[in-house]
Amino acid sequence: MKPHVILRWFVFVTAALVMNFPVIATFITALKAPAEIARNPSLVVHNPTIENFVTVLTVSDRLNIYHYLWNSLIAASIGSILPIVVAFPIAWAIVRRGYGRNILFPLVVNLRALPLVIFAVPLYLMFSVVNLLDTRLGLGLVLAVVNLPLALMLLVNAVAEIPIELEEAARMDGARLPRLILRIVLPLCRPAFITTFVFGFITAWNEFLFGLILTTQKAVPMTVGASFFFATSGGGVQWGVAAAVMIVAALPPLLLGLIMYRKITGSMVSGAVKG
Amino acid sequence: MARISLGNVCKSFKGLKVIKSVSLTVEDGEFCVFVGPSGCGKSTLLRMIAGLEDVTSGQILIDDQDVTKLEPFDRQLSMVFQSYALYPHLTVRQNIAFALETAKQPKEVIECKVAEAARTLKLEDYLDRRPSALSGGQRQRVAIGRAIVREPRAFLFDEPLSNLDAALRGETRVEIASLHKSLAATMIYVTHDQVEAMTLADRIVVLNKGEIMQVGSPRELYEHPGNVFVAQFLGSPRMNLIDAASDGEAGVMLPGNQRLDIGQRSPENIRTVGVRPEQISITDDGDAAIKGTIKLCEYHGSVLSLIVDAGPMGDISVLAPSAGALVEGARVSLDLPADALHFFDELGHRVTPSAQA
Ligand SMILES: Nc1ncnc2c1ncn2[C@@H]1O[C@H](COP(=O)(O)OP(=O)(O)O)[C@@H](O)[C@H]1O
Ligand SMILES: [Mg+2]
Repeated sequence: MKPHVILRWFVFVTAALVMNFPVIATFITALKAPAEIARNPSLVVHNPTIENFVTVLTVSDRLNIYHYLWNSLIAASIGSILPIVVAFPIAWAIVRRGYGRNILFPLVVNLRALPLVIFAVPLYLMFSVVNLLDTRLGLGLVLAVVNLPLALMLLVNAVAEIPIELEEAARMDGARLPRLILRIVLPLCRPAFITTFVFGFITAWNEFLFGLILTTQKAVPMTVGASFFFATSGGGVQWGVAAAVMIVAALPPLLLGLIMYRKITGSMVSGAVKG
Repeated sequence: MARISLGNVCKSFKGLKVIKSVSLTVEDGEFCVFVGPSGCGKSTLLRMIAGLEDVTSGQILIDDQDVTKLEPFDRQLSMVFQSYALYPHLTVRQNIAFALETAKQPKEVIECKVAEAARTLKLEDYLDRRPSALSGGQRQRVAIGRAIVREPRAFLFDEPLSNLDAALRGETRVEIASLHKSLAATMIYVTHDQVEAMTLADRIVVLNKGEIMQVGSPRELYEHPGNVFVAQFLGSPRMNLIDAASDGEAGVMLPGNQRLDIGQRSPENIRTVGVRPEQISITDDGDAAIKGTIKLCEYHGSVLSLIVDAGPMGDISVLAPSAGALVEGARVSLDLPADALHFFDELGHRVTPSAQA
């Protein structure tokens, strides 16, 4: 290898290590026994152990990671699918009919700029009235609101990208609105649905604040549940267990991202118009 | 098949008048071509007939049924778009079958009709491909197949050939013509290309700035253009226009004080004389009214296309037999036969000289 090639690889590897250092450090810590954590802060593990993972994955009378995972799965699913269901018709109406293009759309998109915590107190009060406190549905609904701006933005772009002639051709072919939407618009928006779902799911899964405020027991999501592991049996923070639970909690969105990665990119409309 | 009538149809986009009171009837089984320069409102007019654009005022009848307010899907028309507009996520077969499925036809009927359309358009080998895996010409044929597979009341084409290369355009033009014969269908065809208009049309509607300039058969429009616009729009190279005034007798005075005999009493209101390049001949006659210098000589194979600088009359284009030995810079005399002349008044309308001299 020529020197500049070696240099280039050296820079790449260094950059990769530096940027991923927190992840690497967490993973390595998860493999260390408590005694080793106390005296060996280096990245080299002398006696790797899966003890921490076993602790995390074992159901105790106080902590049940499967319960948290399940809550997160349900809430994040509601929080990522519902915005798509709601935003898709709105996106079509905004793009094709111009409804709300001047006020509603900018308003919803700017919702992202607000710190959502300002909704926390009114939401808590409302939820307690309608019995949605500490329910997976309640948490899912709030996460849906969190994801709505992004969903609307992505879907508005997706609909706008469909050449209007396709919809006109379908109407000339006799298709009324339902068939037009189901057979033409919906399939062409599929990549955008997947993108919206993946981003939405990851955001919802990682959400902490509303999970903390709106749940206490039955619907505690993984992010909040993970914090319970930090100080289990009286003493200080068990760093090995904490690291292991973080790794486990991070796996589902990571896997989802990896599986869906290929489907996110790519447009559906090639070949529709012109050469 | 059906007859389509437009009554005083107008269209404005945000106050800007794009179509100014168009009235027209397209007869049952007729091949009608809307032609005009780009931006004159051809597509808009077609889209109003289709129902894709609402009508600002006026009405549209299909077979005496008022469809002005009907949605496209209730008008039972087929349309072929300039951009083809194929459904990219469906195969060729599904694209062609889409309208039939929409109409909830039985499966066997759909299969049979799709197969027939595919045979007509030579698409049998591509039925299971997606549009993105087709060439431009094949996409175009799928677009046509999608239109012919059902029995619409009329076919609408919006510049269907403009995205094809020249050879394919000629071929597809012939296919469309034979399709019209075999289907005996009412067709309205929009183009900016006068060759397509002349070759395909039973009747041409020449549009300019949202108004009908003239309606007639290709021959009528070519031989008796109703105004300067039509005269110059059809024909290539364009008709020559020369300023002229009546001399009160059987002639007109041209710029440079040259008299041109027209063989008939010349009307008082003549302002312009028109003559097509192919009807001018080069002569040896030293007394000819128009003389000039060849400024440009293009060899086209079958003809020579000349631009003659005729002094005060400006540049005149002439088509001459390619056998002639004409070179740039040569002095020539031009013969304008009296029966090949067209006359227009100051508004650009055609005027006909009265027969008695
Ligand atoms: N949706 C629209 N909004 C505003 N102006 C339009 C719209 N569609 C067409 N126009 C205008 O109407 C005129 C005619 O357009 P069009 O019918 O497409 O012309 P053509 O097909 O003859 O080239 C053009 O000046 C165009 O700018
Ligand atoms: Mg057009």
